[in-house]
Amino acid sequence: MLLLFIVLPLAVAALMPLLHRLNRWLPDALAALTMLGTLLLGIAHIRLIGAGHIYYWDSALYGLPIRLSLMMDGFSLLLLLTISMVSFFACVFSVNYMEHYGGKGAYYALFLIMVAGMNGLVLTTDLFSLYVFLEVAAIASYALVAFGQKHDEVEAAFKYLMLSAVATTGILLATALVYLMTGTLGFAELAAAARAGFDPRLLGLLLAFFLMGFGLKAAIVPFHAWLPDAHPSAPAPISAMLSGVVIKVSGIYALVRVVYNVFGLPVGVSQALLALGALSMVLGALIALGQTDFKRMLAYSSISQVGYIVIGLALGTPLAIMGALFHLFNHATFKGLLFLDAGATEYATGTRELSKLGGINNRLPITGLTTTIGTFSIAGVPPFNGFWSKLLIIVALVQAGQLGLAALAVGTSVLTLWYFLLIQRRAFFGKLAAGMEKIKEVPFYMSFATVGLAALCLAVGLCYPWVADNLIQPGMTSLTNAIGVNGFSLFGN
Amino acid sequence: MDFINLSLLVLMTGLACAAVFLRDLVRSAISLALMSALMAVVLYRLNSPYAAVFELSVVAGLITVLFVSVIALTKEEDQVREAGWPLYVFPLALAAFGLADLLVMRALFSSYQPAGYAAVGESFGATLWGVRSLDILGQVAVIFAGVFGVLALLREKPQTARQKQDAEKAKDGGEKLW
Amino acid sequence: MVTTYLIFAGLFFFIGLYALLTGRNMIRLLIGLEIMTKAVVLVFIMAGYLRGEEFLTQSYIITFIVVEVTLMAVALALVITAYRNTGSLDVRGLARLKG
Repeated sequence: MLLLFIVLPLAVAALMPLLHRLNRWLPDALAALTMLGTLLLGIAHIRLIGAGHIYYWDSALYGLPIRLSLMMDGFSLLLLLTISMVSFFACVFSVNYMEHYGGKGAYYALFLIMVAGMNGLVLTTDLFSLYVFLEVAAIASYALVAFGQKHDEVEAAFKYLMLSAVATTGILLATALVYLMTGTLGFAELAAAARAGFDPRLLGLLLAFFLMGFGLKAAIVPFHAWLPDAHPSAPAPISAMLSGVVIKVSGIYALVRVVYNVFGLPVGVSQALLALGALSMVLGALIALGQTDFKRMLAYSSISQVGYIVIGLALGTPLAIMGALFHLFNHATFKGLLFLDAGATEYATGTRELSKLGGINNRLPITGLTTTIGTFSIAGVPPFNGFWSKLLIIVALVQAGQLGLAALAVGTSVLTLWYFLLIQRRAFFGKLAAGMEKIKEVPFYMSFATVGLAALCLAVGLCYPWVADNLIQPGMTSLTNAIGVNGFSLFGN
Repeated sequence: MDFINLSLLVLMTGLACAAVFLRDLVRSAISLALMSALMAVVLYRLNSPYAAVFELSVVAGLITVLFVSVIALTKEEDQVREAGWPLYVFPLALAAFGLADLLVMRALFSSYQPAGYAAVGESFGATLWGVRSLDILGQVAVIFAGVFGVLALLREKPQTARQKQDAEKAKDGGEKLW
Repeated sequence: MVTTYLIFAGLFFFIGLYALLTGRNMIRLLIGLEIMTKAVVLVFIMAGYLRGEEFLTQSYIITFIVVEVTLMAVALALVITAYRNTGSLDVRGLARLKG
């Protein structure tokens, strides 16, 4: 029942205002349970989606003249699992964290709608529905970024909204042109139409629109201006969702689904994405180094890490795609974890300025430990999960003869370790900062979420072969099939 | 391309410019509404009556109501002075873009032939509900997002503990005075 | 015929984008966004007319209009919230974050 992935969160969201009246804790419990439900549903589909298998779900509902068709392949499933995993932990974290914001009913409703939108985006079979679900997730996330109603939050949300709305309008205009030329918007039909031939000049124009639109959603470097405002301003669980999941689903997944599955991977796109990815990777890391705000630093680091993913995908060899998809999954776990830790630190100390923190590791042992694990994962220290995915990407770069890019990737990795160790040293170790004598470890549910994600970082790193075989491999196969690495090619090289 | 549609489109372009450059925001909003109304006529003439109704009632009507009520609620429209230069640069920019637009569109689409056909039901309702069912679900989700989004953004500001104390103190003080 | 409609669609897109890039009043930026969306409506409906698939394109456009109204409602709610904070509609008042 693929439809459940969309309808279940949506139905619970619709009930939220009512539930909130009935019992104070009901929204918390039900939201987390819903996310757990979609996670289990996703896990149940793992065996169904073997390598290269595509699962179509089509319904004529009880004689009603309604037809919903959804599609799931390895790539969608990987994203679905990532979404429900991060959102489950973010929901649990919210139980305590969102107490002082007020309006919990509306908060969970928006959270669930955002998840429903992303799930729909991942499962849809055509370009127009993709746009609709892109907007569902986006509209919910604008409201969530501004949820605190303070000046910075509203400013960040407004910027995010304007840039993102321009991007989606551009995407939709390109979609309209695609429809004008081919008479269809279904991914499969479009791929067939593209194989039959497409005016190369028009193709260039369309690809430019799609690259800019989805590139902005994914915050690839020249289009990244909104991210370092929006992600830190949101409440911590939402930052974790935005950085961990939303940019990947509405940016990278959508870009790859549209460009790779429909148009293949033309050389121009590959080159452009390689260049932009490398730029994001290096610039993001360099700017992160100069930040004094914990969450802002994490936001720039997201730009840098997305650069790795983009490079891997742009290279287009099976190994590189595998590394990129694995890194996508891993980044969701450790960046989600680090944003939740930043939220926990802010919750306990009242600040996220690194200069005002110091020596809090003894007061916040759990937060300190999980932050360390997140740091090691993001910097690619073995045996944590980030190590494997970065290794795959770098090996793939070397194999493809891109030695310069490989060196850049290694260098950025060192840089990443450096600025995260800086956080550690400034905030968690050393002398206890003034005014931090009375702080206490954060409440149970917040620690539960951070510990859970940290355990996942370690477990995925240790069980790397199982994860690679069961989760990443099917996703890779669906992409390599799409761009024709194994045998056939859409645009004869 | 018939003459009426062409003149409607030219008028719409003029109204768009007016909406951008009129100083008074209410007039801007009304220009936008007029532009939408003309768009509805164009849609009707392009054999799309249902879309025309939506364009007229929802875009020209509802969105304008939203705009005007927010303008009225904020009442500060004359305090934001737009910069002067965009107006002077605009004709030049529009001419340059228009020329490029003309050349690109001519090069790409002058030999356009409709090819391939999509799945369409036998009536509008059958198409919307039967072929685009997933979009209807998406619409429901979007409307939920909008409702909860507006509720969340316009909810009473959460008070900090300190503010609450102050408020209670003030209240106590008031009662004591009685 | 196709080219003429597409040229006007391009013009709408450009005028809206120009307003977005140069405007200072938040409401005017949203008006610019509305003008941009007209381009999308025009291209879809024209394509449907040419192909004789008006039912399909009208379905697209109606969904699009619903999405657009919702987006505007949320955007205007944001404008009101910002106005409550700063007492102005000037986007330059929203320049505390560095981007």
